[in-house]
This record gives sequence, C-alpha cells and structure tokens, in this order.
Amino acid sequence: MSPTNKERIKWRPTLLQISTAICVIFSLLVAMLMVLFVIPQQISIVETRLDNAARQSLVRLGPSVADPILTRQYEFLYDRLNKQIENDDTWVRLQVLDATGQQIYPLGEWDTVLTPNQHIVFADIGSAPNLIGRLALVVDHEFAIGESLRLTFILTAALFLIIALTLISVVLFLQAAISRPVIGLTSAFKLMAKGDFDYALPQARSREISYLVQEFSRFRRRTFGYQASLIQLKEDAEQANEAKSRFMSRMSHELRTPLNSVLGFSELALNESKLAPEQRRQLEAIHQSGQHLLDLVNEILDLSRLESDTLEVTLEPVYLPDILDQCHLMTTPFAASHKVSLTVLPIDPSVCCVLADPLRLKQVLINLLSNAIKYNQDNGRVYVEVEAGASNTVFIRVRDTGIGFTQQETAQIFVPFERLNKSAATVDGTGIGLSISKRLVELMNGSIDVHSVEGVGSEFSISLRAAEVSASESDKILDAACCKPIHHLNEATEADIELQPDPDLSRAQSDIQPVLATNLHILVAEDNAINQLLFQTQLESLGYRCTLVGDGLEALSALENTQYDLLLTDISMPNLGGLELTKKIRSGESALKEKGVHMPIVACSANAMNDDQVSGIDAGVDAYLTKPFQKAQLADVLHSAFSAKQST
Amino acid sequence: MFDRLTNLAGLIAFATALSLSVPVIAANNYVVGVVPQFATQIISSTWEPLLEELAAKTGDTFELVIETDITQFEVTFERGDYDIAYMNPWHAVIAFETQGYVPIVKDGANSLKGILIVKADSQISEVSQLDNAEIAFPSPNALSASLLVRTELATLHGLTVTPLYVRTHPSVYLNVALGKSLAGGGVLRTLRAQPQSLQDQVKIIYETREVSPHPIVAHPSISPEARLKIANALLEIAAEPEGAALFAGIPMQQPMSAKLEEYLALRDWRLREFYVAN
Repeated sequence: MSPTNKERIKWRPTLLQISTAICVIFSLLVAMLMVLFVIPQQISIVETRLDNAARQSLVRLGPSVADPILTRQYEFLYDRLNKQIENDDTWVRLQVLDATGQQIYPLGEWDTVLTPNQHIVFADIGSAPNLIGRLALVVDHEFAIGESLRLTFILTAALFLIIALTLISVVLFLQAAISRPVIGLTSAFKLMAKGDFDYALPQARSREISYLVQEFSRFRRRTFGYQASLIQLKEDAEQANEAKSRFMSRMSHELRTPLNSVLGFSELALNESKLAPEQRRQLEAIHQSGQHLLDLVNEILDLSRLESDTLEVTLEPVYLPDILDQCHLMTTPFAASHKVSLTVLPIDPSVCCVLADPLRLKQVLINLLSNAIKYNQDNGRVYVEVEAGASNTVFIRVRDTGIGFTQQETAQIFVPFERLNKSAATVDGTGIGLSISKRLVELMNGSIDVHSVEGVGSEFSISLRAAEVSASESDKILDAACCKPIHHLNEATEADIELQPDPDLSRAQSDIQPVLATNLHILVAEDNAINQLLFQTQLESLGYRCTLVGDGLEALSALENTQYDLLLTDISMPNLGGLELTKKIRSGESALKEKGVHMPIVACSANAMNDDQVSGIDAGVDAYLTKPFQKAQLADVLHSAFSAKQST
Repeated sequence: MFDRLTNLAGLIAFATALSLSVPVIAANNYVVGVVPQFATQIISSTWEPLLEELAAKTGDTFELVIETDITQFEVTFERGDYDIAYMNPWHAVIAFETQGYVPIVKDGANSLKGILIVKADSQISEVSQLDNAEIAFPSPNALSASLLVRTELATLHGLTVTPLYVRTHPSVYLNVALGKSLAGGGVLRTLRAQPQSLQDQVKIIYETREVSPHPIVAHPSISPEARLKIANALLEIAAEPEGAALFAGIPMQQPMSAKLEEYLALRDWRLREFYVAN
C-alpha cells in the first residue's frame, strides 16, 4: 500500500465515528422538527382549543348574568364575575356591556392592550333583537401553554433518552461485533506480513464476522504453508547457487594451471627464431586461443563473485583524465587493428573526478571501448566524452558509429551469455562483459544505460557520483592502482600494433627483453611438474639460476642448506603450502633478531580470488602473481622484489 | 346615657328580685325570627350560638326560623308567628301595631340614618335637583336606606321621585357609580363596606334623621316575667367577652334594654304613607 493510500485511510472515519455522527444528525433533525414544527403547531392548537373553551365558558356565563343586568341588580353581577375571574387562572379580565353599549363591568377603565400570550374572546348575552349585552374576555394561555410545553419537553427528553440509549446499544454492539474483531484481524494481518502466524484471532459474535475470521484463519494457514515451502525453495536455490559459485571458482582455478603451461610454453616457443612460418602460425593460434580461454575464465570468475556477492569494490576519488588516458592507450592498438579511430574529447575540469574503484572502472571502460571497436565498421569512430549529470553525477559516454542494435536487443544486452545473433558469428566475445560491467557500475553506486539506432551507432552512458579531489591526489591514487601486479593488458605502442595485428601477442613479444639477472639464485617451490618446467625455462631465459623443490617442507630444508636470493612459491602444495611456508620463514627471520635479514618471497597461485591475495600479504609475501602470467609480468615482479631488497 | 344606666340598674334589680321571689319558672319553647337582610347561612351561624347560650342561661329552648326574603318575614311577624324577633325599627312599629310586639333589647351604640348618594363627578349637590329623578333603593321598606329617604324627600323636601328597587345596597351604589341612576339610597355602614374604588366614585349629598337601631322584640303572649328573664339573660351574655363577640355578629355593638316609646316616635314621621304593604 502506498503511503498516500495509508494517509487517505487514516483520514477515513471509524465505524464508531460514523455511528456517532448519524446519532448527532438524527438528534438534530428531531430537535429541529420539535422546534420548527411540533412546538409551534402544538402552541397553535392549544391556543385555539383554549380560546374555544373560554368562549364556551363565556357563552354559558351569559344567561346567568342576563337577569342582574336587566334588573340592574349589579351586586350579583359583580359577585358572579369577580368569583369567576378569581377561580379561573386563564381569565385575566372581563368586560360587560349592556344593550346600549355602556360598560357595566368592571367599574374602572377597560384595558384594551394585550400581551403576546393574551387573547380576547367575545360572547353575546341573549340574541338579537333581544340583545341584553355583550361579554368580552381576555384570557392568558401562558400557564396552560407552559404546562403543555413542559409535557412536550419531558416527552422529547424521554424520546431522546430512548433514542440515545438505543443508538448507544447499537454502537456498542457494532463495536463488539464488528470493530473489535476487525481491528483484531487487522493486527493479525499486519503481524502475518511480519512473519507472525500465531497471533490470536479475535472472537467473533456475528455469523458474518465468524466467516471472515474463519476464512482468514484458513488463508493464514495456507499462506504459512506456502511461505515455509518458499523458504525451503529459497534455501535450496541458495545452496545450489553457492555450489555453482564454488564449482566455478574451483573450475577457474583448475583451468588456470594448465593454461599457465599452454600460454607459457607457447610464448617461449614463439621466441624461438628458428621456427618455420607454418609452425609460427600454429603456435600463434595456440597462444591466441589460450589467451581467449584465460579471458573467459577471468570473466566467469568475476561473474561468479558478483553473483555470490563476494566481489568488493573500494570507492575513492578517481581522476578521470588519467584513467581515460590509460584506457585510450591500452585500446588504441586494438582500435588500429580494426581500422577504427578512438577519440577522448576534452574533459571539463569541473567533472574530472568521480567516486569509483579505479581498477574496476578501468575494467568497465576497457570493456565498453573494446565493444565499441569490435562492433564498429571499417573506418568507424569511437568517442569518449565526460559531462555533468543531474544532482552531482558525472556521465561518461562511449559513442560509436557501429552497427547498432534494435530496441528489442537493447533489453537483452546486459544479460549474461546473450550475444546478439548477428554479431555472434563474426565477432569474438564471451557475452558476459557487459553484464559484468553493469554490475560493477552498480556496485560503484552508478548506473549504465544504452541508446542505439540500428546501422547508425550506439551510445553507452555510465553515470557515477562526482567527487571533489585535486589532480595531484588523483595521480597518486591512479599510480598506486596501476602498480598492482594484477592486470591483463599492458601499454602498447602504435608501432607495435602495426607490426602485430593481435594486441595480446604483440605485447607479450615486445616485453621480452632479457634482464641481466647477474646469476641470482631463486628457489622455486611448485608441486606441478609441468609448471616446474615452465618456471625453470622462464627464469633461465630471464637469466636467473633456479632450484626446484616439490613442496614447502622441501623448500625449508633447501633454505637451511643453501643461500637463495629469492623464494618463488606456489600457494597450494602438498605437505606444506606456500602461506604456511612463508609464515615459518618470516617467524624464523624475526627469531634471528638480526636486522635486515629478509628473504624476498613471491607467491604464485591459480587462486585468483581477492581473499587469497590478502591472506598472502598477511602471511608476509612481498609480491603475488596470479596464474597464468606472462613472462614479462614474472620479470617485472622479480625485478621489483629485488629492487626492494637492494634498497633495504 | 345616665338614663340608660339607671334603666339598666333598675332592670337588673328588678330581675334579681324577680328571680329571688320566683325561683322556678316552667321551661318554655320560643320561636325566634330574624330579618333576612343577610344570607341565611350568615344569619344562622351568627344566631345559633347566641340562642344556645341564651338557652343555657334561661333553661328555655329557642328555635330559629329564617324566611327567604323580607316580604315573607313581614307577613310572618304580622301574623304573630314569632315569639321573639330581630327586626328594623319601622318593622318594630308595624309589629307593635299588628300583634303588640314590644322591644326588649336594642343596640345602644349606633343609631340608624339613611344617606343619599350621587356619582362623584355629578353636578347634583342638592336634593332639590333630584325632582322627578329615578333613584335606586334596595327595597321599598328597607328602613334607613329606602323608607326614611323616600319619606323625607317627599315630606320634608316636597319632591317626587321614581324609585327603582335593586334588592341590595351594593347594587344601589353600583347603579349610581355606573351612572344608571342619578342617585341612590343607602346607609353609611354598608357604603363603607364597599371597595374603595366604588366608594371613590360616589359622594353623599344628604343624610336623614336618626332612628334607634334594630331591636329584639317579644310577642305579648310571653309574660312580662319571662320577657324580663330573656332580656336579662341577653344582657348578661353581652357583658361577657365571648357573648359580646356573638352580639357583634348580629350586628349589635352595645346591647341595652329598649323602650317601645323610642320606636313609636317613627309614627309621626309619616313613614306609613311610604310603606309598601304586602
């Protein structure tokens, strides 16, 4: 129920209020009827009747005074009339005129002025032509009307009392029979919505409400059953999903180990100059396929983390010009290979900073740029622009002049593995890049939107919260982010791209510059024989000496006997794993109490999950490599580790 | 006054002597008549206690008889039906002449005289202005208010008037106040008893000569001893406070013994000429 509805209901009257209002209106109507009709009518009737009664009395009085008038024995007349007036409360004064019209009673002046309640009635004494005289009587009905009204008021009050008692009884009955059970049911409904299925239902006194309560009870039992089965289903689904995530995580790990060998050895083989052109093409195909497989594994891993909510982002102010520069640099060779021009439009300084995870933002932007390039036409264009949005947001738009897609396709574009039919055949892709991008942007409190016109081009807009930060701070942040050893793409020059159509392969080859390792001795702990061989080959080609051991225990005994310059260890090994090994070495170093003794340790694992890296750093490793890695990455990491050691 | 006291002393002395000399007189039954100038009930409530008291004093029994009107009363006493009667002075004269009734007790406080009234705003101030006028009177033979006034208007002032008899004194006053009659005959006592509003509307222009008030008379068949015994008993009652109150109701303020001569003087006033015989 919307809040406005709730408000509206709050203003509706309760049954009690409605009943009371009806009572009041009814009472007012009765009162109005009494005041405006009954009482005036009653007064009028009473007055008429009293006047008639007075006239009758007067007519009867006539004969009894006729004789005294005729005989002029006025004492009898006066006695008679005085007594009559004395005895009758309503008689105010009497006048007697004789046949000549002379007033013979009373003795004084006759007052002709009447008060509002006084009426005058007349009666002849005798009849024409023997008219003896005439009687005029002023009567005052005030007392009689007052009495009559008093009775009416008593009657009305009694009527009101009866009505009030009846209505109060009805209201109380309604309250008990309807309002109270309904309020009880409402509470039961509310609590049921909160998950309480045991709230005691109200006692109903009427059949209708009994049915209602009974039906509600049945409904609640059924709902309880549904909810229980829903909860069970949800738990089952969650378990299944968890199992899937575990499976995917495990899969990616298991796939990385052989991929490491495939990529490593194919890379090494490609460095051989004595290859026949046919062999080189085949090796390149192996390396390319391996690289694609690795991308796929990485994205599946991201997706599984996103689905299991284990992927975390760290929001910080990100300086957009730097990040866009890097993305531009990284995708330029790819753009060139597709004959697409890539332009970052000038950025207004006021919108140069957003709140985001720099690494993940870069991942999203590269994904969008790659798509814009991949699905473009020959000599197509890609533009990146940044502009301010409403309420402190910043839009990053990636616009292309590509093939575009229809409205229908727009709805599917962020669904994992839903590749658009027409492109699926012609363009490489995993089909989950955009869905990952969407979720990443949402994790960064942003949103991603798309507008496309088929055959004209598409525009992807990322909306992120704006951040206030100085350019220098932003630089530092970005530098720190770029130095982390985990990323799949490296910078490449345009010259390289021209020579090598495949950016990944060209980068791998351009980075192979033999380092003068000056005969440094590295201990390699690795349980997989093929990977042992790969390490040995890569390290020797980089000019290092190496000794191979199968697990942590062997590594420890090797370290006891021989002085090594660096330890390169796998994480998951039998007997003693890489993390435990590192911990033992570090505790041994601190036990020596000799300052400056620090064995550089580089951990290397197919566990690409974030947690693994964190626990590696906690255990005391100096650098962390995720399998599969390229020789150049290995070279970088080793170089950094040695540099750090020398600097200490 | 002195004469009266002497009379009373003489009477008492005589009565005492008589009662001593004749210790036992046989018990008699007397019929008592009262002039019906008031309502029967009033007369009855006034006279019955007095007669009981009188019976207790004398050992005789007294039977009160009240006629419905004065005419019937006159017929009755002229026939001599009453042993003892209370009547006006002129009736006393008639009663003496017809049956030989003699007064035994009278009211010594008030003497009677008639008055003639006209409307207060009337131009009439002299009786001479009333020649040939219609004048209201209670009844023809009402002594002071009617008989005395009519007699004097004719015999002393030589006027001829048209009398209208309206039964009661208040009716006379009302006729005058209402302007129905130019003048009316009454007595001061009854005029003063009228409401002030009525009194204010009339004025007195003439008063008659005085006569002795109503006497209690006794029939000549009653022996002089018995008459004296009754008179003494009445005066004894009047001397007691309770008895005085009973007499006041008659009304008789100051009872004293009466003489026939006082009343026979009325015969010279030519009242008989104006008396309306039944």
